[in-house]
Amino acid sequence: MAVTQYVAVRSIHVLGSGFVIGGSAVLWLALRAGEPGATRLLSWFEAGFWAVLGVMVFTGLGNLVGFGVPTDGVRASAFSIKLACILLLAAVSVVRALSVLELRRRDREPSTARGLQWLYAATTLLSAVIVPLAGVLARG
Amino acid sequence: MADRYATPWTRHLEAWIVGTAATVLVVVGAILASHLDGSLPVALPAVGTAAATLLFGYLWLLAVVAAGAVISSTPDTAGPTAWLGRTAAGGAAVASIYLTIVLVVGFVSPLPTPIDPGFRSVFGAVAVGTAAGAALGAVVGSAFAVCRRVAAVAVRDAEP
Repeated sequence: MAVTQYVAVRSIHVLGSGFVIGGSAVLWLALRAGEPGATRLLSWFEAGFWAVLGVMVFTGLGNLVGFGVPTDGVRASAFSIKLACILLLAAVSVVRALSVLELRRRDREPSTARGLQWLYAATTLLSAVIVPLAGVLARG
Repeated sequence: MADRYATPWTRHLEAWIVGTAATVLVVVGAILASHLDGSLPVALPAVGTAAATLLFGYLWLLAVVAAGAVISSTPDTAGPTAWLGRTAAGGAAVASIYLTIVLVVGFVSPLPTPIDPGFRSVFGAVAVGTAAGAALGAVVGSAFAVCRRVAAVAVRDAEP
């Protein structure tokens, strides 16, 4: 890849992680504060979240080529743990997104669903765990 | 599964979520497996940026279209067996279309490592891939059925 491609790929990846962590944290706090949340807003977040997650997986592969695929040592362990965390994040996010669709179907108020608050909290915390692992993977 | 209470937006969003999630889980799972068996450092740099973009984007598109087709064609009264049968058929369709197109394009495009253009090897690769896709579709379908039940439990206390 050319240098400009690396910069673009890295920038998209970092901006994507900002959207995932920031978006889920804001929605978690809004639901926790009992703000009457519009299911429509949550649906749009879910649509954006999955688009961003798909793009981040792809740009993550580009970053891996750029920084070099780790074969042993701390970087290799960090990579394995990071991939396992991403799988867990995707699994939690599927349940969270389907919960939002369920609320939309039943026409219920999201801020009264305690399970949904926990799912947004889990998304925020899992995403926050992945960031330092990405730092170790990139810089050692 | 198709829901008679769902609006077109809800159905499209569900197909987008299920298709994208299946793509993410399968790709990340494959990367993790190839990292653990040591083949990733050889395989990943061999694929160029343009080819990787097309391969990933094409798989993503097929998965979303297949998810939409399976969800909209399965009535909400369908049992678990019918649901698993349809998700297995969806997985088989994605794998067979994806592999056929990728292998055909692989023949006609200049690659650093040429693919053996034998009919039997292509047919064998597509047949094995289709069977694996059907199995993967059934696994993904059952996982999403479980996720749907967990989601229903997570929001059961929500008020109107």
